[in-house]
Amino acid sequence: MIEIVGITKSYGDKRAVDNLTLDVRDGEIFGFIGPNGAGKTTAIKTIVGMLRPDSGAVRVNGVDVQANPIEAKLGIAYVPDTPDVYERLTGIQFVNFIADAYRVPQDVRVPRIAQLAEMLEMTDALGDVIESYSHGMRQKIVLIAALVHDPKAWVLDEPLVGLDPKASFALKGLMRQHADSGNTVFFSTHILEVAERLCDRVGVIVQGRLVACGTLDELRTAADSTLESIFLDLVDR
Amino acid sequence: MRSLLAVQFLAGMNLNALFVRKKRVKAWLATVGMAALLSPSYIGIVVLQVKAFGFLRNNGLPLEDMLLLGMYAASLFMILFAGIPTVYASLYQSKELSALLPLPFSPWQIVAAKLAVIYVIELLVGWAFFLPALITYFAYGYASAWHLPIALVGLLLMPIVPLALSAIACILISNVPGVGQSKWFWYIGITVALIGASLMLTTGMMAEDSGAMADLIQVRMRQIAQIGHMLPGAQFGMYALVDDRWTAALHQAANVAVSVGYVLATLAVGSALYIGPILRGDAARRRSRVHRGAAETRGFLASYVRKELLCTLKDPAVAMNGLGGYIALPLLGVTYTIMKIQSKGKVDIIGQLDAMLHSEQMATHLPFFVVGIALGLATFGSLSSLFAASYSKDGKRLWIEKSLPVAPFSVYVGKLLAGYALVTALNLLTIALATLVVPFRAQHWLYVIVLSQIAIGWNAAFGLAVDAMRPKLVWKDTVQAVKQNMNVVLAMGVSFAGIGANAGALKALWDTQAGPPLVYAAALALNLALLAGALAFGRSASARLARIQV
Repeated sequence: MIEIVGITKSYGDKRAVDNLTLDVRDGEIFGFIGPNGAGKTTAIKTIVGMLRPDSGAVRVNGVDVQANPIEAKLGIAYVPDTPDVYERLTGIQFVNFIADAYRVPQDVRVPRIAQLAEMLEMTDALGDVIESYSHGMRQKIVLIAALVHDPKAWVLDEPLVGLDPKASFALKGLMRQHADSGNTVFFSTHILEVAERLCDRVGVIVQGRLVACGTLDELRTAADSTLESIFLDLVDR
Repeated sequence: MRSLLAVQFLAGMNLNALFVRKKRVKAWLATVGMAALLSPSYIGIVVLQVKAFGFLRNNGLPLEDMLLLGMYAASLFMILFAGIPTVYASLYQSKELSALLPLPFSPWQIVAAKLAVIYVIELLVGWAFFLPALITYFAYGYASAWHLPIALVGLLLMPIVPLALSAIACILISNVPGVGQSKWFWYIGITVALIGASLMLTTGMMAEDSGAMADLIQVRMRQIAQIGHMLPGAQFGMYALVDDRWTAALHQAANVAVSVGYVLATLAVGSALYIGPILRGDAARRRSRVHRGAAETRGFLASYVRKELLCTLKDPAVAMNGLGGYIALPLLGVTYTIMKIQSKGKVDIIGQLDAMLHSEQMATHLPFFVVGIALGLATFGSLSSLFAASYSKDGKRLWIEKSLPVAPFSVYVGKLLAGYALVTALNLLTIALATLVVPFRAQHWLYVIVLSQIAIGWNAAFGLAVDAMRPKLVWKDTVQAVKQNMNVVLAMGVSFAGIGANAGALKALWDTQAGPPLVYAAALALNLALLAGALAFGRSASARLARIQV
């Protein structure tokens, strides 16, 4: 469960996130959408403890991220919006390093890495240096590393960018499966069709403010409106 | 093609920076500053050349042609050796090919545009070195006005042969499987080549009287002129400089033909072996495969140190800069050996040191030398950029450390231990070599190890803390993160201040004629205090990780 209570974060004069409050419940996939520069990434970085909010609080699985960052991070899988990783390491070296940081025992990590690598078709590439990976492969290695410790809360910043259709399908399946097992998935995306089909609830952020939040049915103003039309309506308002 | 050339010049030589509004002030300041910095050395070179011609004229020595040819050959070699890293960087380290290849240009046009930029750079390098000699040669009346147009053509063609050879060598080596793509190979190879070239050009200038000087110039210039023949085809340009009228013109015509041949050969090799493999997708096929390795479990600190070591050692730019002062040791050794041989044993610093340390007067002051050598060795470590650029070199990847469930101080300690392990290995190796030449006893060496390690420790802890406070996270490549980083300079400044504090304390102890136990204990205490202070600062600075925005 992720609880965001009135967080505000400014960069100089610009208020990137403005008094954001929302809950993401156990067992649901929450889609976070908004135009470029709306504050999605800032909000996500605050949720995972990479940024300190100017005010407000974030609790993940009941742990205050600012007060107990290490304990909170142990329960989070985070995928950033750009897969910048150590290019000189091999894929498996990077995943192992992350697994060490999360204290994942060997008997858990070996099958977990094998399963994720198989699912994302990365098994043969794990021994290659990351420098030689394509953008999509880097995204996949970041995903494997993020999910290796199998935490309750997944916080994914545009995780589908760069993935091939098969990997994208596999990841969406994993997200559904994770949420159905009583866990939390919070992700941002620009692909509204994906959000529409995958998410239990959606939050729309515009200029740092949450302008709408709820299930698709709750957001609909007309019976035939799509998430795209709802989104465009909210953004243009 | 014209626009391709224009873009290459603007981007390759960074000319844009001089004119774009937001950048130009900084760029001009940097250019003027660099010029001011280099001026004294350059003026020295010019004065040396003018004096050399003056010396020949005043002593009636008919060696002016030899001197001019020697300078020309030296310029060619400078272009050759400077050309290798420049060509390598331009062809194999730039990332613009993905933008150029889809454009409607032939492979040879892309190669030509890239090499044209290097040609201009090398032309300036060659002229800077050779023009003063040529002007003096003309000014002293060694050549008629008739030679002027021939010389001007020669000046324009000067970089072509060595640059073509550099480019062809670079491209051919880059195609050797297992070697050509290794950055380590290039860094070490280029460093060795530059050291070799600089030694070759600078040795043999220690004659004492004019007779010996004349002999030396004659022999040296003959040697260099012969070396000039090692660049096949370059001899035509050389003969054209000093031959009589028509012979000079004919040689220059031959030089033009040879230069055209070299240009065509370079473009052909570049099209086939530089652009060709990229179009065939060889690089993707050659993807370096590493054994997958078992999924071993480690504690965070061990895992982090391992990650840091791998990332450092696999990045030659970071590793070579991380060697710090240690990289100067082989150079010092070679220079000292050459000086000793050339002075026929008169320069014998080690012998003098040995004699001094065994003299009666020095018996009471030995501890100062032991402490001094320990701190001197630590200074080599303090010149390493491993610490003061450690956070910086992570750049945008610092999100990983920030998102991990570990305390910021653990990251600091991991970085400290990784760098410290590398510097310790180098320090111990240096001490092992020093034992061969400095006649200390075992207990002295033990003390040197302990004190130098402590001093390296506080240097490292402080440098890392500085970088934790204000890392430079935005850069294009790790060379920029390490070399153009004020934190490295700042940390060095503090290191020297710390060494200065040590020197002050030693001076005070010397003046009060303190006994050996007090000297040894005081130096240890002072450096332990510096270490404790630096670690405390590091703990506080490392907490900034949470506030750094990536």
